[in-house]
Amino acid sequence: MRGKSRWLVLLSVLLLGLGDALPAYSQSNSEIRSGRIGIEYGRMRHGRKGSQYKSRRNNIMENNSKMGFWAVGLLGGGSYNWQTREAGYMYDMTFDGRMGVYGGVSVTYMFFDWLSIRGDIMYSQKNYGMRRMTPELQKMDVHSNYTNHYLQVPVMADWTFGSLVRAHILTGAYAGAWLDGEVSRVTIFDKESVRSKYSFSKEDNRADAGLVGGVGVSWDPWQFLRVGAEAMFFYSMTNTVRRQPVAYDKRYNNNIVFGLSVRYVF
Amino acid sequence: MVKGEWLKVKVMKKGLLYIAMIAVMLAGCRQKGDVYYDPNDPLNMSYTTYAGQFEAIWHGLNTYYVFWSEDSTEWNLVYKEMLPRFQELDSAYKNNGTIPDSLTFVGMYQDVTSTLIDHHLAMQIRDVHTNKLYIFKPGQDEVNQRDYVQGQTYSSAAMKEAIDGFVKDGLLTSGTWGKRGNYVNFFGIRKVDTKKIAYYWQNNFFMTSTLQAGILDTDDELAQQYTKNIESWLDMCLNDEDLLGIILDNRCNGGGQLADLKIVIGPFISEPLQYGNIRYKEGPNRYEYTNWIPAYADTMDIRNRRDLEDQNIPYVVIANAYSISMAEISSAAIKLLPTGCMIGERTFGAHGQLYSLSTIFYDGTFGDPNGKHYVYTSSLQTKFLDGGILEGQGVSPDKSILQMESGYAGAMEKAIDYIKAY
Repeated sequence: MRGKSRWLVLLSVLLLGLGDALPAYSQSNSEIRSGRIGIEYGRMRHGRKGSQYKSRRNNIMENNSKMGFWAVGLLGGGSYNWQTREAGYMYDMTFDGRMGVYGGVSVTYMFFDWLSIRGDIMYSQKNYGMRRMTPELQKMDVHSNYTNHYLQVPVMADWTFGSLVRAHILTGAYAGAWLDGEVSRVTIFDKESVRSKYSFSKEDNRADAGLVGGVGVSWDPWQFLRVGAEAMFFYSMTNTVRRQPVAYDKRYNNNIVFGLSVRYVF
Repeated sequence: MVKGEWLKVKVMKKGLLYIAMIAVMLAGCRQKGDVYYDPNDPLNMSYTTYAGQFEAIWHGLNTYYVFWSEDSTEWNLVYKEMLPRFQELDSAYKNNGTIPDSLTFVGMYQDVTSTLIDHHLAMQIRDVHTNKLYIFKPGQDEVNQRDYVQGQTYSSAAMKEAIDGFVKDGLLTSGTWGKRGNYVNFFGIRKVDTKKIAYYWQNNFFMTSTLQAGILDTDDELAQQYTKNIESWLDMCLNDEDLLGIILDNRCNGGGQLADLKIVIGPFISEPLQYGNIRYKEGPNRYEYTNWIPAYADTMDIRNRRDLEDQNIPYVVIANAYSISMAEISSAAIKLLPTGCMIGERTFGAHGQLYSLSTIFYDGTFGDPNGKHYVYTSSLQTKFLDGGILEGQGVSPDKSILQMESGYAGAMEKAIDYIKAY
């Protein structure tokens, strides 16, 4: 492991308050780089039956036990978003969650076979709808369906366990930006839905940040390839409305993405 | 358990526990918003202090004012600066029983509203202790300050007197007055050799309802004539073989039914005419607007539509600084007709349309007309195809002629000359 990487590992561990894990990293750099420690872990986990595995499975095991290696891949799938907001006196307004899509690139650095750090650059739609329920307006189906385009960068710890099919628990934070938006809307003057570009105002907060958590599974069909399925929940901590000194409105996005990933393991 | 496995489980458990704790703590950082202020909630109108009244009006406009996207008013600053002044009024009343004099009270609300561009805005406010009624019309105050308006008289009575003068001086050959309640109209003819110019003036747009009701079964001849005047003007515009031109006089017209576009524009178009776009607020925040929705003058459902362009017949609309609302919108729409022309002054600047049902929009009029405050304000923004959003500015004429330079007759003479020369 190169010097910088080692310091990164140490810093991460210290930040997590896991100082008592340090002795595990006192192995020699050459041992770690060669993967011997990882292979030992694999053997321990499978009762020294590794030699009986077929070659493909051996590849998987070897991949699982990799440390100090990188993986780069693509992600994509669907998203579902809803807003947490106060309905207040808008007694006839309902807010609906709406489906969208997400996709992006992902970079993973595997410290150990059970802990990696992962960073994504991700496009995700955070869509929602508003619908009027006043009887006369309900007949007219007065509604606004917002399609919001976000770019976000989650950085997560990837806690991994399992052998052949490995499970992942993702925990981290993200930052992003509200890039653009469209609205498909039926107003009281329309008979049909009209789609228009969303006009940002000085009231909109286009910065986005929050917490992210997720679960997933992965499988390595070859030593260099890792495919997976995952679901992540982006819990926004930033209001989509800018702070006002009086009459401050709070609107937060809750975004679930679910899809597939494919990674090249170096 | 072997050492490595034990270590891994320990680290993972501990790490995930810490992360879960941090996540729970951070998740709690999401704050709840302020309670949305419902300007029509009776609880929000039950204040007993001057500061409470100011807050009710400030919050009401914060939510229900439709022009925030166009208005340069620093509304948060207004709150910050004006609230202490109203609190001082409360302190003076509490300590000494002092009631603010009219000048102070009116002046303070003028400071609150003077820069708001909605020219429909009218506020009816009662002193919380004496119940004395104050009425503010910031838009009207702005218009009266315009250099071309100062010193001039704009009223239905002045217009009526002017039209009688047109007949007397030969600008109009003949004409008849009609009156129904507060609505007054005049249909006149100007003969030019063998040709005729159809002239029509009214103090409000009330044509659709009038025609729907028909000629009233009454002994009031003026009320009957009110309907006949509309019918006669329309009949002449559509059917008279000798029609040389049309004059719709929108001066000193306070506005009215938007549906009347179908009567003043509809007979001369074969397809709906888009004169602009409208939008309203779909949520309580200041900038929460719908998309722009095309606004049209509809065609009139008649067989003998008249193609003014084909027959080379000019349609002149005359307007002045007290052409308000529908009188401005109809003027702007007539300007778009192939033979349309607007003569006169820049208009009042109140183009935001009004609807009585504020529960449909998240904007518009709020308060109680019989209560301590009532704020009459636009429900829709109007953006003209020609000129954009002109709220607070008014529609400018194609040919300018100021009333202060040539009186009411000047624009009339110019309109007749324009038609003759067309």
